[in-house]
Amino acid sequence: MKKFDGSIKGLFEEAERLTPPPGLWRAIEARSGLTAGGHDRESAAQSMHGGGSEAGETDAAGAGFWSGSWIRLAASLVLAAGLLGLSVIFKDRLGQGNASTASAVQSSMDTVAMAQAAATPAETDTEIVDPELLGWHVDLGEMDEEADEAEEIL
Amino acid sequence: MTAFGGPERKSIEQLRVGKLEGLQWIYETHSQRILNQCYRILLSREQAEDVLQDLFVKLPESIVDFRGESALGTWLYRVAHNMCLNRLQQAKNRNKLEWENAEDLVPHNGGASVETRDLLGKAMAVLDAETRSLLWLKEGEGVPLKELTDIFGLPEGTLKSKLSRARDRVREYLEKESRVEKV
Repeated sequence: MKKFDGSIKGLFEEAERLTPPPGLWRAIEARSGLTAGGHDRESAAQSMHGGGSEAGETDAAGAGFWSGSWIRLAASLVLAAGLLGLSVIFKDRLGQGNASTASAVQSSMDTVAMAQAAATPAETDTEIVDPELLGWHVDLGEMDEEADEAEEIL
Repeated sequence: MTAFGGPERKSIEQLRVGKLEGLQWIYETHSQRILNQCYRILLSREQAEDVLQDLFVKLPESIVDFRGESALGTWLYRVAHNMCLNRLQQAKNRNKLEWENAEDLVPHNGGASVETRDLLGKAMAVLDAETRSLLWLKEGEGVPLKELTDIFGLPEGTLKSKLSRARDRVREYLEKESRVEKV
């Protein structure tokens, strides 16, 4: 140990001076949340994504575009055109080739309505079994009875 | 100490609007002095670097408390001083850290003045943390008494007597060490 010569000032002047380690500023920069140019990261994210501050919100914004009204409108148009085409083909095959466009459109609308009705879950027994189908089934039963009688005669 | 004006004022204004450049200028200008102040209070390089990092990470928010009544460096010394004392108090409460551990005082690099640095470190360790801070800023950094009154919130007379007692205690320790060495 160096001998003390009585000068406290000299001791302080020769004292060890620390220097901040090189990585310290990087750590502060990363933790401070500030970015060069004046916006902190949160507000920068908000300005970029219209109010979203996190990556998750960015994804949500992207999904919002794809599930947006434009896509739904386009899909509806494609579906309507397809149904219109199908109805025209069917009418041609049934000898109704000269049917008007209005009736074709009406037909396609009816088809859509029927598809929607079919897609909705049935809640009552009468909805589960079509009365017309039941009628057909009764006819079929009568035919079976007639056949049975015929077999007995034979 | 840098006067409050010019680039300092500009950097504070930049920091207040969230510009990284402002924080960087303040860091480059003041970090070394703050680190050494913290080191002399905490007697641990690692702890001193921790406090320095915390201070600058919080600075974008805490700068609103700086009213420009003193130089920024003076205000930063006061903030660092308080953060170090808080850390010591927390450690004391937890009773986990040995702040007066002599190993912390061993210098971290070689060189001609290693013995002198070691001697100063051990001599400073006989003082309480607040007095170490005061003595270091006066003798090590040459901070004027007027600024010290701003940092410590005490009148000049009180600071003078504290400094005088601190010097006496350090001198006593050093003379004692010197006598031990002669024997």
